[in-house]
Amino acid sequence: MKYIKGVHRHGSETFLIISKDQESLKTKSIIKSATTQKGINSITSEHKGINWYNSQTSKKINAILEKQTKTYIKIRININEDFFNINTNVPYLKLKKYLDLTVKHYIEIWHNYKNQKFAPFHGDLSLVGNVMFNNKDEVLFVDWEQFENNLIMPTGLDPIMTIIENVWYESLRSKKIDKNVFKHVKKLFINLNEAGLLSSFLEKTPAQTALDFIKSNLKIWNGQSFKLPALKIPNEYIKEIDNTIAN
Amino acid sequence: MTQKEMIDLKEYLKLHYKDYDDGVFLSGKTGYWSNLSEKKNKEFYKILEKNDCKTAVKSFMPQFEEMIFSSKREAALELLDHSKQGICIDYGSMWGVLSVGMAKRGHHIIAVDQTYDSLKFLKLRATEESLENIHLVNDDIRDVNFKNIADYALVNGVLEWIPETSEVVVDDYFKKSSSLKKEKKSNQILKKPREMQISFLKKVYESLKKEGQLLLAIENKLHYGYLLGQPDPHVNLKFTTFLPRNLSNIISRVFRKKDYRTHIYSFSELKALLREAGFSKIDDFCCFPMYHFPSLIVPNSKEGIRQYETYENKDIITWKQKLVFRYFEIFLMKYLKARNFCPSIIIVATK
Ligand SMILES: Nc1ncnc2c1ncn2[C@@H]1O[C@H](COP(=O)(O)OP(=O)(O)OP(=O)(O)O)[C@@H](O)[C@H]1O
Ligand SMILES: C[S@@+](CC[C@H](N)C(=O)[O-])C[C@H]1O[C@@H](n2cnc3c(N)ncnc32)[C@H](O)[C@@H]1O
Ligand SMILES: [Mg+2]
Repeated sequence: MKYIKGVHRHGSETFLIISKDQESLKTKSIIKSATTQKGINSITSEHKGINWYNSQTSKKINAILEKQTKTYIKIRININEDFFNINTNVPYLKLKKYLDLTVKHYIEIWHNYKNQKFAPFHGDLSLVGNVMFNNKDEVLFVDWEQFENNLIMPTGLDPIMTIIENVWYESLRSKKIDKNVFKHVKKLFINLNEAGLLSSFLEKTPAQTALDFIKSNLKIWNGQSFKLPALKIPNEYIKEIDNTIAN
Repeated sequence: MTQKEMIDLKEYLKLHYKDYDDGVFLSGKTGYWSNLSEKKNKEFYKILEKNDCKTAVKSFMPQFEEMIFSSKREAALELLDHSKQGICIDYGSMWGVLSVGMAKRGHHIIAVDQTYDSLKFLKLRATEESLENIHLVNDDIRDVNFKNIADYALVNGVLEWIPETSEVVVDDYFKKSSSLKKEKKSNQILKKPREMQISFLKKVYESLKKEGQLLLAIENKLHYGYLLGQPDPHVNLKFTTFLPRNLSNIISRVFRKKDYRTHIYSFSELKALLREAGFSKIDDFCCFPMYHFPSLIVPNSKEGIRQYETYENKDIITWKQKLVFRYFEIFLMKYLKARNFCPSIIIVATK
């Protein structure tokens, strides 16, 4: 069974098609295609991103560029079975384990960029859909549409955005954020730093600096930056993250 | 497709159409169906002389920019198999958003429409975007004679208009009086709408090669919106889509001074129509929120409707719209799985 799940979702200019096994109804592959320049660029980035990811990890994503012309592109991504999206509609402290795993996977994948100021950039490492897990606590980063390989973004920015996103969601859930949340945030930063994957740019006021980098590189998101949680979070939380880390 | 095949297609069209003017093959048969009146179209062409297509549309009729250019409208084309290049006939192409979509996917297009002005626009657009593989034919699609040449046929928002022989300028057409319209074949007794639609679909069938695919999109007459009193988009009258045809006819005669001819169907009726036209392998899909700007297209089956999920719909603004078109639809589709009441039908039928 094949169906069209998404048409130009969240400001993209791509089609998202799902192909399921006729009998088991398990998803076999997801297909993304486009005919506009913007859409073609996204899918080209996705293809490059997946190839880069595959060159750094043993758990490969199987993606086939089925068609590529000046006016049409189509990529088929075969599903890595048994990986699932987590339900992020729960308090931050229940997501701790998954944030730990995400940072750990980042450290594994980006190990070649130890102590480098800049690194390749995923651009949308959100627990909502783009970081997947399995029962063996393995992690899979998917959705590489905003991949940026020109070493213009600071090393460690991806997981920092994931962290900011989840602090923001927490702020929407409760007026006063639990101290333990910030404690955990600090631990994640320490992990990144100890792994040498926190760019020297991000050593002081990492959250604020991260935001500044995002704001001056919005073109990476190809008109989809409006959906970035990092740009929605009130400044007080950014300050609070930076304060916690400084102390 | 090779350069040679492309030339062959042009030669093929030359055999069928003796006249060729400014990039358009002419049959001598024309009609008029447009969102613009002929006068407006003239004004539009003045602007087109000095501007590129997008700029011209943006300045002259910004309300149609998305309808003409948005690739969102191409979504259903992704249901077709594009692994091989082929020939595609876009029946009733109008401004050609789907012709362009198929051309970008590498196919060679014959865009047929009765409205010369619309084809002229498509010609300009194709040239601008270097899409050399679009051929234009000004003809009545009820009378075309293509045999075994197409790998694809598109009938997008067109089947319902087949029985309509008067001129249509969309806004005028919706108004109460019918005096604005010139009845083209008024003294001629017309065949029944359904018969006309079947004989058109037979022509479409004949034009396809074996294994060729037809993509057809049309409103569902049982769309829950119509049942709730949303007007029939073809005549701007309530309830006419699903009432017994003779009743709709009376309503149309009273309020529109004309017969009700723009027949649309339910899933099973439409499939019966296609079978009568010769198609045997028919896949049907539920399309949300409407086939003009699809957001979600799922198979019309138990498993298919299980994939229903909410989608972005920027046309939903007011509280009332939210209630009817979001929550009610979710209730119907997600919980009741009432797929036969979905807004639009999309068919992929194979010869
Ligand atoms: N390699 C993969 N293995 C398993 N599941 C995958 C894989 N790639 C993508 N998915 C699943 O498909 C979903 C959609 O893919 P992706 O995120 O790339 O598309 P998207 O257009 O950004 O959609 P969304 O808006 O849902 O994020 C993901 O949320 C994930 O659940
Ligand atoms: C609602 S528009 C659909 C346009 C296009 N397929 C799309 O999806 O954008 C209907 C088109 O069909 C054309 N049409 C209707 N009946 C026709 C006929 N008998 N012969 C040729 N064209 C016809 C009209 O001229 C008009 O351009
Ligand atoms: Mg995603």
